[in-house]
Amino acid sequence: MFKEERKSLRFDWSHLGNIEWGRPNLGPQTTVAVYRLMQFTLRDAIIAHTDVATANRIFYDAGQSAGKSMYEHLLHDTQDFDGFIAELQETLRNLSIGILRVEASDLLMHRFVLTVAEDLDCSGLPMSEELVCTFDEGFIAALFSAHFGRQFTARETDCWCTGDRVCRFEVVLAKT
Amino acid sequence: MEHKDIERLDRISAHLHALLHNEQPGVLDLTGQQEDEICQVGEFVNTLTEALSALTNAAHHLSIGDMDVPIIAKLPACHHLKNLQATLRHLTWQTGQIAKGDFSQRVEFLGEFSHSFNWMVEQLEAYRQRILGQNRELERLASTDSLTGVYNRRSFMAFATKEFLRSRRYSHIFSAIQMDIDHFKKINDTHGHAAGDEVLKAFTANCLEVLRESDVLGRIGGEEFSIILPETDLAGALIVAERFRQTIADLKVYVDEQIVHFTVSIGVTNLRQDDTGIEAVLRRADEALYLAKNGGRNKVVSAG
Ligand SMILES: [Zn+2]
Repeated sequence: MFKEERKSLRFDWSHLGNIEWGRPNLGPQTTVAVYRLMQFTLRDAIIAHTDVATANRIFYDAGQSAGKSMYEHLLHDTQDFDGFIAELQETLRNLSIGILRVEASDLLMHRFVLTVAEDLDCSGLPMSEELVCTFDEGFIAALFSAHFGRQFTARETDCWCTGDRVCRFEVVLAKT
Repeated sequence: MEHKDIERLDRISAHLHALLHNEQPGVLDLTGQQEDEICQVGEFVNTLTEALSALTNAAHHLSIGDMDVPIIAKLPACHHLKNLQATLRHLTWQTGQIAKGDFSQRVEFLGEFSHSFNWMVEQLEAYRQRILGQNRELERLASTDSLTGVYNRRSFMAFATKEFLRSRRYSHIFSAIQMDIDHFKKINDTHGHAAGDEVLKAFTANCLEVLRESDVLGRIGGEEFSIILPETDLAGALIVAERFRQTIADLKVYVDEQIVHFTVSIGVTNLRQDDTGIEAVLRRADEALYLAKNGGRNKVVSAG
């Protein structure tokens, strides 16, 4: 399940286990620091073993897998775009992932600009020239792909780390 | 302190003075001088001047509603401006959504403005709901007869026309009934107009009880009524008409402790191949009704 060799992604929502049953005393919550400890040590180790480009690709792919899985398990499939965004906003907020807001939506050209404030991955990180929310890029791309039934890509154009108070993502149709 | 150091400090001082008085000082040029503490202060002043200039520029653009200017965040104040910029961009999008009719949008993080804005959206939604309700009520009033609550002539004809076209297109059948309350003028003259109104109300109420939900009853004149019976052949329509004639003949309407009896004459027909419009169908039912009247009233006559 977790340690078999593979060439393509095999994640399944069931891999998250029965948390309620498994943590009767500690419950389902942990802290943002613990989440970041995992994410940034993992990034660190992957870069050390491979390179930055590979690490980014891994985080993007993992984000996509997470977004796809979350869409299937937590969101409803039968909605228009407004309903999709409203439900996504509520879900991301309820899960303390971030505050999602839309800056632009062009349903004809399939181009969207979103921001995430108080982002789980990066809000409050030290300043650098880097856009670090690669996982979120894949995550958002997969959510939009699942909603529209077409392949989307997402690119972070502004990040807390580059001095923005929010992370800004541009979501467009993937070039075929 | 050496004279040239005093002179350098003077230049830094003049630069800061200009900055504080809203003038645009040029870049402090302290190059060519020795690398000492004064020189370093000069560099900080230059960096600060540049950051302040960027901040002023960003603040200016935001103040005139230009939300696309890239804000380079060198000072903490710029972060707040970027935050505001993101909020305003989202607000712009939200306003567009509201204009499209998405009243679920709510503004956050803008303090008092959020309250007012959200209140406005709630009010807009409430107004819209009220207007929709009023429109529905107006629509109902415009399409029904105020005394009996059944379709008025205009909406009955609209329905009948639609039913005619639908039946033609899909080769379906329907029947039409024309009815006239017998000696209605006499009821009015003998018992008064209030009694006439009671008779009309009792008539439609009993008629609706005999009809199916898909059948449509309309009051097309004073005491004249029409019915369209979709998917009903002539034999079926005659059964309905006869049952209804009998119901009305047995009916007692109480008005001011008096019992009013009345009867109805009925003409029945069904859609035929050569009918060119709903008018032709209703005219035939009318002719049958005329025969029922002439044949002694309280009768059902078929034009089939
Ligand atoms: Zn970010």
